[in-house]
Amino acid sequence: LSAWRNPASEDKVVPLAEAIAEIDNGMTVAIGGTYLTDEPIAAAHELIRQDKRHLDLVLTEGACLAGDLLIGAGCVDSVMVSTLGFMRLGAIAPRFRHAVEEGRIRVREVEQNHVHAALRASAQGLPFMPTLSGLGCDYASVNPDILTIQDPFDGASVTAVRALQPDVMIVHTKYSDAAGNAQHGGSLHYDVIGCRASANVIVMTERVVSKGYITRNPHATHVIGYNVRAVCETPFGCYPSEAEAVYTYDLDEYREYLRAAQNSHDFDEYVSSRIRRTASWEEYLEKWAGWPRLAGNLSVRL
Amino acid sequence: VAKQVVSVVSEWRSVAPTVETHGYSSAELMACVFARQITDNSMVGVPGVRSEVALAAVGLAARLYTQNLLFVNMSIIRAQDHLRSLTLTGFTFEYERLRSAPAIYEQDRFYDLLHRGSIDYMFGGGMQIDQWANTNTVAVGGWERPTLRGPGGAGLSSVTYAQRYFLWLNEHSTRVFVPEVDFISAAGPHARRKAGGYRPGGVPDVATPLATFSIEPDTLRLSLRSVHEGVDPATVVRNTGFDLGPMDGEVPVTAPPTPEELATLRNEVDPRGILREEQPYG
Repeated sequence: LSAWRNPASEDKVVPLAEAIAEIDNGMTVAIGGTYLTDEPIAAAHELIRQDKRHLDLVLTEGACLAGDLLIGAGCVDSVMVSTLGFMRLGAIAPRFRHAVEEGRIRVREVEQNHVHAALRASAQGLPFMPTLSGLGCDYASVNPDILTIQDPFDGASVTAVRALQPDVMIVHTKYSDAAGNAQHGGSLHYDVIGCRASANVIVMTERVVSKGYITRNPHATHVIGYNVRAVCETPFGCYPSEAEAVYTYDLDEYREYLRAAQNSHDFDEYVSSRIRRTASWEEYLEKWAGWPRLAGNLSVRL
Repeated sequence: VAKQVVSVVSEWRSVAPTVETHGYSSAELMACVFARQITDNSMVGVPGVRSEVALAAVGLAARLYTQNLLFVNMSIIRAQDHLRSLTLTGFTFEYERLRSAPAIYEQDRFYDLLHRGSIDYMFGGGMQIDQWANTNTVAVGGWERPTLRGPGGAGLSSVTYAQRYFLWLNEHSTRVFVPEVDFISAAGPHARRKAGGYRPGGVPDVATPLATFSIEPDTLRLSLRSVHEGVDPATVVRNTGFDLGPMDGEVPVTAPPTPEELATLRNEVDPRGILREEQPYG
């Protein structure tokens, strides 16, 4: 029996570990959030804890800790990403950089709007999407999913990007009802087009709320339950990233990660102590963050 | 040999303006250079990965040079009155910045605005820039096995579709200013024209710790527009890996920050002094 619920179900609330267990090795997995914000870190931990392999990751511009962890932990064969870094903390994500320089992962080299175009095509059931992104650039020479084509009407050049349908997208939201109608706390990132394009969606949420709470303000619902397969209540599920309007990021933990990620020995120790040797996300939070620190980061009362 | 390389790569450091030598940092000067070019009633955007000089320029322009600016970034839109309270934190996206925003939108909409040419001013940078103002944030060395893997192309090829875009480089050396970039991740006007694009896109202006550059309209090459206070044009030539053409007459000196600009920057835009810190490479 799958932990993933039927899209029409009214109750898709399942533990995160069970939802992640349904992801097979080799699947194309899109991860939501941007920069230090709304990264579904708990899901990344669980993918590593369950030792998923050969994933084809899809990340957005400014992807950060989740992607670097997954790549460093050996879960990833290829990644579609336009930037993977930690902003001023470190422009280039260290495990990503090493994996590419050592030839251990394949990069589907893209400009950010190529990601949007690939997802927009999928969302609309089209084989490809034209865009201006990357004209005159070198993306098409290294990425077979990008071509320069002629506008069939007027003959000018445009870039064509092949559609991409992720098998599953994992997003973090502030609130969700049990059916997966979910509301972000702030920025929407590329989560909306990502969910529209994906075959399945796993919603991580700070709190599962009543159907009535969501229906009071349906305009704020940007992740719609119709392709959501699991709703996982994961308080502080973005830690150390920021959940907008819930808690801010923890720069000390980012710096700790970046120190460890400079070499593979310290990185492996970081991953085994914080992830592989902890039984659950809750244990990780308790042991490595601590509730006082988490409470101190709260932006508002939940 | 390694020592020689280091000395060539770091020569710019000994010449670039610093608070100690000039009373202002290169990053503060670059913010002023861009702020002065932002005209009233325009729409301006900032990138996400690195934004301190861009945000400072916008914050400064909003306080000193414009009445009416519309600010957009990957998820929010804000008007001039809010820009006047913008201060640098070192990060582009924070919940703080969302407060009092009239709208929050999907990131891909921001790219739609860029591609339609709706954004008047935008910002970007790179690990390498060449004579055509092509920039590279993807890979130095071969793409397959780079000697330096960059963070990726981000949205910078889309940025070139803003009417005008400001490129700032924190290092002015021959490893940054190269004849041809190793990977074009954002195409300059020449490469875009050659590709026969549906839209021509925008025009870049460049600022570095040593000088400013603009695009020569006929050749679409970068040309030297000004050198910063105390910088010899010959130093710029030596640290630029491509031909800057004949220097006819005096090269103008970049107007240093005015007392008003500097006071506004330090008291209001950047009270934490982020622009006076060492800026990261690229």
